[in-house]
Amino acid sequence: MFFAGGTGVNEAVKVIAKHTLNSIRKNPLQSFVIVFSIMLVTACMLFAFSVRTMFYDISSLWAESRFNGGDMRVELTEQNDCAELFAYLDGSEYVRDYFAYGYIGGSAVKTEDVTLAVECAFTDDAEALNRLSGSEVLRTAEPREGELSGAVSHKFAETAGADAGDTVKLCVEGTPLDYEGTGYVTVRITSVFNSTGFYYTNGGSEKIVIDYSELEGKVATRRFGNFLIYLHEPYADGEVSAVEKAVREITGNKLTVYIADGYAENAIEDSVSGSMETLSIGVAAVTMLMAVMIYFSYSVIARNRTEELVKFKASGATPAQSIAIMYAEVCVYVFTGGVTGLAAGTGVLKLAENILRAQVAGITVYAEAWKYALAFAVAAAAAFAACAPPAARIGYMSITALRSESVRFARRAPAWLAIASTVLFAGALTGLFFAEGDALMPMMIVFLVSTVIWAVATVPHVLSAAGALCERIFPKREANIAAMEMPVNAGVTTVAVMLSLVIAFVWTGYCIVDLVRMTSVPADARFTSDFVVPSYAVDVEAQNGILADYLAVDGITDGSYAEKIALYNILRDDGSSYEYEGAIQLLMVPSSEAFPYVCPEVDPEAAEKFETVTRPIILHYSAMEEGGFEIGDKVRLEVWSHAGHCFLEGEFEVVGADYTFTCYDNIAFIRASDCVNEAGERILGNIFYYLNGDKDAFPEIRDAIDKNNVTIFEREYYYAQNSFNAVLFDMLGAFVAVIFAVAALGMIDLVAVTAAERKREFAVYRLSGMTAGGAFRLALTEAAVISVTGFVAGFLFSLGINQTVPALALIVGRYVPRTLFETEIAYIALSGGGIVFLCWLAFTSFTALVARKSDRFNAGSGLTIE
Amino acid sequence: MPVIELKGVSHSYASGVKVLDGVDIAVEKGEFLSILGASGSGKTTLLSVMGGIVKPTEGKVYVDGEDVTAYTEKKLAVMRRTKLSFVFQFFNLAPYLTVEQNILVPALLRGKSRAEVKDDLDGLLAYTGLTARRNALPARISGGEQQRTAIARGLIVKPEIVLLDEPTGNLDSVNSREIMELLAKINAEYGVTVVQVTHSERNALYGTRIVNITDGKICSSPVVRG
Repeated sequence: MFFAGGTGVNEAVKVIAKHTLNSIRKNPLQSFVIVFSIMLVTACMLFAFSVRTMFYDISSLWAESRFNGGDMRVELTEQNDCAELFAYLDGSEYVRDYFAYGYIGGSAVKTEDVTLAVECAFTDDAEALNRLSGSEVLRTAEPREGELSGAVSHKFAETAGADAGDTVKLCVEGTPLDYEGTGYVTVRITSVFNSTGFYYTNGGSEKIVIDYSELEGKVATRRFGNFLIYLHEPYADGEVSAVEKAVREITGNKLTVYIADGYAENAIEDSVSGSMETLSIGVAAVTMLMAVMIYFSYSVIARNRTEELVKFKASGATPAQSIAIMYAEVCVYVFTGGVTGLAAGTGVLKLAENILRAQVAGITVYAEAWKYALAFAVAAAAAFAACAPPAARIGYMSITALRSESVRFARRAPAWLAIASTVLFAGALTGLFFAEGDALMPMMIVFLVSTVIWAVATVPHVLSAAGALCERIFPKREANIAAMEMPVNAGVTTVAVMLSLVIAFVWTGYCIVDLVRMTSVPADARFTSDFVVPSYAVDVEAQNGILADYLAVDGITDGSYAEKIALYNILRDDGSSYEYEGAIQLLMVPSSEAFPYVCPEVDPEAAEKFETVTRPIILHYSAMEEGGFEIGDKVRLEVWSHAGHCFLEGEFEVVGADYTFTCYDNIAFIRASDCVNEAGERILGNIFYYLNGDKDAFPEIRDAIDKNNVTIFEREYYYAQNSFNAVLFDMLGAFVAVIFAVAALGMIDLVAVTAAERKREFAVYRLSGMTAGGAFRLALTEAAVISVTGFVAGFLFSLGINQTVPALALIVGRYVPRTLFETEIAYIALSGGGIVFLCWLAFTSFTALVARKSDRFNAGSGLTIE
Repeated sequence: MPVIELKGVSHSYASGVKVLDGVDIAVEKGEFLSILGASGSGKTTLLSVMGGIVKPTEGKVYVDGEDVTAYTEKKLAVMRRTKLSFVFQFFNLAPYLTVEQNILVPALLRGKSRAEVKDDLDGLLAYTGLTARRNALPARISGGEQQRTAIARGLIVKPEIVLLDEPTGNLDSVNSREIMELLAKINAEYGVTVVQVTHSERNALYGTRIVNITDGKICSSPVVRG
């Protein structure tokens, strides 16, 4: 043959190609698992690389839209006519341009069936705003005499089902537009902008811009609270400081100033980096799992090729040439899986783009050529690495060894290693329950490493012990035979070890996805009522009366209310402070009875103390952890309301934590009656009534409640879902589901192959008198021992991994409490164990029954005709 | 009454090839029958018909006077479990069981525990010279030891009949002689009926009776060894 030399390369290629295709044809399930695994890794990589870019692009839309190309952004604590500020900006030598607008978040657009929450901006210079916004006009309509003109975001048009030229009813909170006496004005949509720049909507309310010039004589004063300032380029730091100083003086320091320089970059990094690290961990885990699947599937193929290899070696093939022959097949898998993976990844990206375009018009999800090449290269490297051990093992085997390759004996690590790994694993597991803060992450790594070592070194010993126990319990018949052979059969130990690791992997994946999900749940998800009635500061005396009126409306069943202001600073009694960048939302509730509506996950003990303690405060778990607060701590609160900054009277006692987790959990709860400043004045906030009732009766309920510029919303139209994150989460979820399905398929493949390789063994048992029922009992015993061992080990691993969740959460900058046990662990472990149990029972019984036929001495497959 | 009797047995494969053609043969209790034939003569099929592994397409097979061609699969399994034992050319030991465990398999399947057959097991291990190798896996012992294990496995349940298919076909001459001597000893000392098929005239001579098979037919008068 060609190994001896003298034969052409073409002949060699033909022979190798023929054998490669034969092998693929003979091992369809394993080939499918390998190709599919490579395809998934490739698609996953391409998606991950592109999602990274996509996240950055989306975050830059949000971060940069805060400045619209400006150099400074000024937000006043209270909107007013700002005459002095305008005068300064008009005359400043440093200011090249600026525009100002009033910004009202809780406005409403009414259609026949629903009321939508919108963000309404009023400006004196709509032309300048739109010119500088960085947004693109999609559609326009001519203004009409007697109707207000509105420029709206693409998202607004989509949600309201309206387009340029249509009119909508707008109710603006804070009532600058109540001149029609109904609380609503009619606005004609004269332009629709793509959802970028000023019109970017970060998954929240939709945007509409109204020009004050059309309200001439209809509103008493123009009110502004937001300024975007453009300086002469290039500007010096001193100029920024000079402008900031002047603005602070003019406004009495009742403002927040944001500087554009570096802001967007930092905000993007803050927003994206945690998610990207989680994504990287997820992708690495997926690649590892797929590599393991490829390894096991290819090991089966390699064993099935031993007969050919005997022929090649007999013809003079060297180990290197043998490996090359084996790798020819891997190349086919890599090419097929890689190309289909790139195609699938491109399809997923296009799908993502189409879905996201509904949220952000004009967004493009793309992957550059290098990403395609890198995705393919990573998948190919993973596949080649996974296939290397089986290929090398078979390639270097002698002809004699190859001819006896069909039996695989379990390898048990030395007892000392099993004991040492058990001690390490037990220590790491125990340590996880006690590790805190900075120790969590290294402990998590130690635990994960020790888990893998323990699974490989000790699970075979556990199986052996289970077999010995089983042998004692069942001293005769098939169960005893099963108990004797199981610990020696490599297939049995491999399936048990794999089952335990796959259970652990699935739970890890579940935890990661759950953390990603947490970042996609809108902060308002904690507000659970059917309806919301937002309102500006309402007289304290009137609050309960208004609630009673609402509860009296037909269709409303129950409800409560809360006031919101910003908690600026929490001062500890040692004088140190916990100052969150931005602000903590401080909710003032009349009593703990409001918690089911605003904070359903509050600790019951805390709810009880909330009623009894003088000045109680409930902090979110994140704030407790990040700020180092403990129950019983005394703190002082600095708040920021319509009245500006002030300290609340007296010390507040931390009575417990809120365990509701959303994308933004900087929230705290106090009693409304305790929200009093040091002068004894009650600080009022925006008030929200949370009502439950008959959603089908919304139009009637709305008619009864919509009075005096107060509007009722259905919950889902007021607290808009962060649909961009939700879409991403759904896509990630679908991807993870596919990966888990492949993991399950890989397990099933492993079980099927293990059963198929035992055909001759079963024939021996059958010829010794084992009946079909006996074969079933043998399979049943094996299935029970394997699945229970895998279940118990996987369950144990998952319990440990569950303790690593706080460390995983820290990667995305979140604090979550550790829990001893989650019911889902049991579901996952039971599902894994159940799948393996049923598959083992089915495949092994079937093989044993088929073996009965093969023992009939049919030519070529009998026991005596080898 | 013969322990096994074949009357007018013919057998064809699905392809139409006739491998047995009107075979009449009776195996008496306690005899050591050697069926001698060349490769492809039908001797293995004849053995498998005797053991109820293959149902003949024509004719009847009687074991202890009962027509086993009418048996269901389950009854055949019970018959194999209680009356017969098989020993094959390639030993066919369960690869994941030790020598001792392989020998135990038929006993366990018959509902006996290791404790119940301990004496028999120890005796057989000693008898076959496997005591020192009792905890070894088949892959770790020689071909001769594997075949001795297979024979011991065949004897653990004290069967009436042992059917052997080329029992030394895969062994060297030294091991072959040892195995054949062991079989003859078992036949003589325990009174077990032994039927072997072989292509080796030398091995056939260990039988108390020899019949030839050619092209599926018993074609010569039996040779009875002194």
